Amino acid sequence: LLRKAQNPDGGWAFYPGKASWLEPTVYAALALHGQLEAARAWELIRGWQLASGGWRPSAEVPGANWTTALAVLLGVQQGGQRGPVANGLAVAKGLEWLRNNAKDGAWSWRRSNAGSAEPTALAIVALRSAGADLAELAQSSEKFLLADTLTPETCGPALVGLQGTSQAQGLAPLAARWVAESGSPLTRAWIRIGLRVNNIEVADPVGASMPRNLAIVALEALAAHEGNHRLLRAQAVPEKAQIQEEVTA
Amino acid sequence: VNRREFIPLAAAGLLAGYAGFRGGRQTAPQRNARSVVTLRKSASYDEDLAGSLLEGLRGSGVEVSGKKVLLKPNLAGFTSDEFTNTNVAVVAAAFAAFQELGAAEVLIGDAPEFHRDTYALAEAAGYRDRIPNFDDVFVDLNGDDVSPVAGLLDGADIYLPTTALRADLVVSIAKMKTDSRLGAALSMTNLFGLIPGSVYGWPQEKAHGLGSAKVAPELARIFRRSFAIVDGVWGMEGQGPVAGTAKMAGVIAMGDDLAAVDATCCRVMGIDPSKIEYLKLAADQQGVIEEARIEQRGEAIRDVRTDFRPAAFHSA
Repeated sequence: LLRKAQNPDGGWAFYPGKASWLEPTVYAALALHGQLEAARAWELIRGWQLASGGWRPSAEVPGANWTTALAVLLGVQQGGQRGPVANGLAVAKGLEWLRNNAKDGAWSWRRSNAGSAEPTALAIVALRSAGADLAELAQSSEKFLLADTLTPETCGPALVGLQGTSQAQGLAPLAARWVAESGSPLTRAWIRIGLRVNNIEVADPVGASMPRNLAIVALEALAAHEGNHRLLRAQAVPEKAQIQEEVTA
Repeated sequence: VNRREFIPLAAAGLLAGYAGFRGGRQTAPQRNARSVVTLRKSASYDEDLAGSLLEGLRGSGVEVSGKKVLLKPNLAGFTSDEFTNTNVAVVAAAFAAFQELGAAEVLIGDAPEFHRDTYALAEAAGYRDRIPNFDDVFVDLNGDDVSPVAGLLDGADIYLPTTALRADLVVSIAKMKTDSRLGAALSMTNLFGLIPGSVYGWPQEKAHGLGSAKVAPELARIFRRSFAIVDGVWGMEGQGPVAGTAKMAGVIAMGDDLAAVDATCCRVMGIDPSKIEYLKLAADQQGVIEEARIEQRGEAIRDVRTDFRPAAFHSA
């Protein structure tokens, strides 16, 4: 379904037949990591980076926002795979934008908004994936995520942001309950990803119908037992040293 | 065309059908103009709501033959309770009524303010079970294509869903609620759910840093081809729009002046509309709120008045 739904420009829309957006494009590209479709997606996304280093959320909408973290995440994966210096520079500028837009350890959907769990979790993962030193931010970010996690919808992203910590392990029983109870495929997919990046096994859904939202389809593919959820496991990215070298160069 | 009426060329093509609609408020009301608001008693969602809405729509002079209509419900929570979301019976009745009036296309769409999974929200509220051909007519406005509209408040562009911009008529089907931020959440504030989270995040109305009370009338100005239906069969009192409690008012309000409909609903709820900041800002720009300038049809306010417990705190 994801392959068939890729737009001619290389991106994905939230819904088939509509314009490409960065968010579904990155999730789909991660789900199809290592395949031609993912490389085409990065070619599109790279062109959406602004002079500030941040990324616009679509070709239509100006101004950088939280999806910069997703673009950095994809850039790290694609840069590692292909290794061009340009990717490393794009990622480096994106990392700088992310650092400049943190407030008390939290990131927001847009600069004028208050911090939210999902942008914060993804910014942390993007920074860690690129090998950034989070020493200054880690404590306040974890504190923010823990304070903002107690809804089913924010639990999954928070587990991703808190991966490897005792707090993530502590959230696991609640997360397991919510993944069983939630009526939202989006919530269930995120929680399954969050549990899996913390090495906590969770069953794949059986007989569930396919969501219409392609971002959710891609997240479900990432969340599957054999899916690419490992790409959201920051410590599992082998290419970060290479990217750091490219940035330094 | 002055700046505040400006529609950018980029969106002009989308809005080509704009002038064709008759029945919605297309220009700012003349001073001393009067607006019509219809109140219909409805003790339960099992009554003939479609017939009731049809009567109110015809009484308001709504003509949508051959036009595109977008129904915008209030999807606020993952629940099938009767007081959080616009009840599916009201949405289904409106869907049938606009089809009966000859609309060429009737779609249902929302960009929920507090939750990202729009289809799951709609499903939890029973829409998939009750709306005919749900998958063909329901649109997640948070994932729609967007187009810029210039002139929001101090000039910033706002990006809005093309499905909403293309509609000849946007019907705000709100829930009757008190609101901890604005005092009341009714048809005009329901338009916050036309701001796409894909651009502005969640909740969207805070995205501009402008304050909710200012943005609501601006949205009513942009979507001035609009009609209001407020589901007050069951409403929400206290800490709305998501954390309040159930309150039955047994009434449905409707009209083509969103400010007048909301002011009337405030009076039904025992709230002075002149104390509601967004209505004060809307008055005389997007509609009328004085009781003397609103022609009340159907039930009298006194016959349906049901005092709602206000939110403990609200700051517009």
